[in-house]
Amino acid sequence: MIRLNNLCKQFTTKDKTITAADNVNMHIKEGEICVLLGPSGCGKTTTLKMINKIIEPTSGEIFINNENVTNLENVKLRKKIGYVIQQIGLFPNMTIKENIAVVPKLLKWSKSEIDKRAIELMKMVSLDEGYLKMYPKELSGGQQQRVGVARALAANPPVMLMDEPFGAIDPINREIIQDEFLKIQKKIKKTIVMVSHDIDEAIKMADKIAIFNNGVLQQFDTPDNILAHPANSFVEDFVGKDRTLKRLNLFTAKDAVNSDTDIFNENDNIVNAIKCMREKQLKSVFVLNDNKEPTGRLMLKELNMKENVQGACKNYSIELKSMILLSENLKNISSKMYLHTKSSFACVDDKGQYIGEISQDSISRFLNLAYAEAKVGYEDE
Amino acid sequence: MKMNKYFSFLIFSLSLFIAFLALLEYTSMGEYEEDILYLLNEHIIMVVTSSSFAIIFGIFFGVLLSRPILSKQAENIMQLFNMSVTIPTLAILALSMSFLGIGFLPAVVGLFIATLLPIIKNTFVGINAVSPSIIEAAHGMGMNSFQILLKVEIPNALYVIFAGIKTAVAINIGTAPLVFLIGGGGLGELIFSGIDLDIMPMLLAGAITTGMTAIFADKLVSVLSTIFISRGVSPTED
Repeated sequence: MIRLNNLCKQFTTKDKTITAADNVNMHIKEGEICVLLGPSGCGKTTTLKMINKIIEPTSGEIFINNENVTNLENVKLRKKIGYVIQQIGLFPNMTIKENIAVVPKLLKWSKSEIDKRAIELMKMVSLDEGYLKMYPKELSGGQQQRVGVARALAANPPVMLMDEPFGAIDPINREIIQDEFLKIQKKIKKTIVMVSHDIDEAIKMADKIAIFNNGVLQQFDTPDNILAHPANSFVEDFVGKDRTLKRLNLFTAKDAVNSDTDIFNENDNIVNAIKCMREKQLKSVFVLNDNKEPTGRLMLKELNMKENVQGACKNYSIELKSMILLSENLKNISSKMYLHTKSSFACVDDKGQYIGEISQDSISRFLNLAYAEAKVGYEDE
Repeated sequence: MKMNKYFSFLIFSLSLFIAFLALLEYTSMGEYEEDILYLLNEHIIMVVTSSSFAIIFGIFFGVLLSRPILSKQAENIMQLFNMSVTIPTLAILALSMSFLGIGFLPAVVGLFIATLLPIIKNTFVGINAVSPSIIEAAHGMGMNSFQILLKVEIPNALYVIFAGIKTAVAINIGTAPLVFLIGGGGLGELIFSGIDLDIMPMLLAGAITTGMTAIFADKLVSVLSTIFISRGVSPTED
């Protein structure tokens, strides 16, 4: 969808030449969010701004949809590309509606089309229609950023460029707006290039991450590959020593759940259960009711201490303090493990039915597996 | 809100007009009614002509100076303008007379020059003060430079530009009585003749009418600014 071929930018000052972007080669597929990441002055913003030629490339080529746009007229090119900047840049003299209508007006849409589109966009960024008549200064920072996104989407461009779009928003609202944006993106499937200096934001938003340093593209890969296999020491330092913990953010219980476990019905005979646990050397098993909902667990250690054990399992099962939903992310699950000092939890689907067991063991086994898989994928590239 | 502003302006102008008529009817100003009306007409034509030209050219030059091509020279040129503001308006009129002789034309040209600078200055400063991020957003959306000037830069600088116009019109009206000295006519004729002949009513007739014109002009510019300046730009209105 977007292909950058040997893109270079050099700034010449009186006494020296600075290379802001050095032979950048990237291919961003349709519908993907690609985050350009790096410390300040690394060339990520320069690279982004060369795509819509706010910064004119010194050399190299840009293809959008297999069309070489390197020599396309700036104004024509930019109307096809949505653009969101950190300072938002809403026009203070225009109402929200006029702001949204700028590109459609440049493209000579009819008034009724613009009206319809404005209402549609406000709904998309979950703002009330009433805001359309207001001026930017009457909105909060978060609301303004939503309008900024709506304005960039106005003429339905296939490509969006975003320069630290969530940088100026406070952390709580940022999280909310990021989530909303991902939800919108799931529907509209734009090809998005986004600049960020926040590794956590990148991991959360990106399908692909491109890490820059000194104008050179260091690594261009999926978030998991970047975290699992940093290409060089710079990337490794940049993603941080806790990179494995960061990987936990990328996966949910569904990925790491072990569904091949022994379970007992609460009415099963406890003697059989103990026999089975001893045979298979299981420290604990979950006990389900007839609806397959986990109600408790049997701990072999405790059962061993009791004498004269007989009857149904439910009489001996220990109540579960917490369960894990299939959609929960691994980082939250790890946090719960420390909170409850448990090394495993029962994992249930949204109906509350037992799916499997999630444990420290199953998580680390999964991460290692993904680690190996990532490596295979990495070598393929 | 806006309706209220127009309405209060209407009431204000009406009461000013009635006060003026009352002064003509019931005071010794009435003796000079014919002179007042004739000279007032002359005065207004002079003020309106010179300030309209000043507004048009002032904004034009201000915009020109704010263009990127001139960005290197602009600061120096502005320095020059700032210096020339210190020249007393009377001196400007005298200079104008020495080049153009006496009469209506040198009067209008003199007023025009005295009025021009604050407008150029404020237009330049106002446009330069428009946040670069807004301009970048406009470029990024595919607007060309002319569209950006017309739809983004000028509308957002308008509050500052109008402040300049207000100052300029005040200078213009303050200077206008002086043009009598270079044969330009206007209400200055009553004031200066009144002083020379030591006739108090004549002097007052000129002074009061000039004063009322100034107050009216100031209000008029204020109302015009609320029409032209977008509510989103004006810092005073909510």
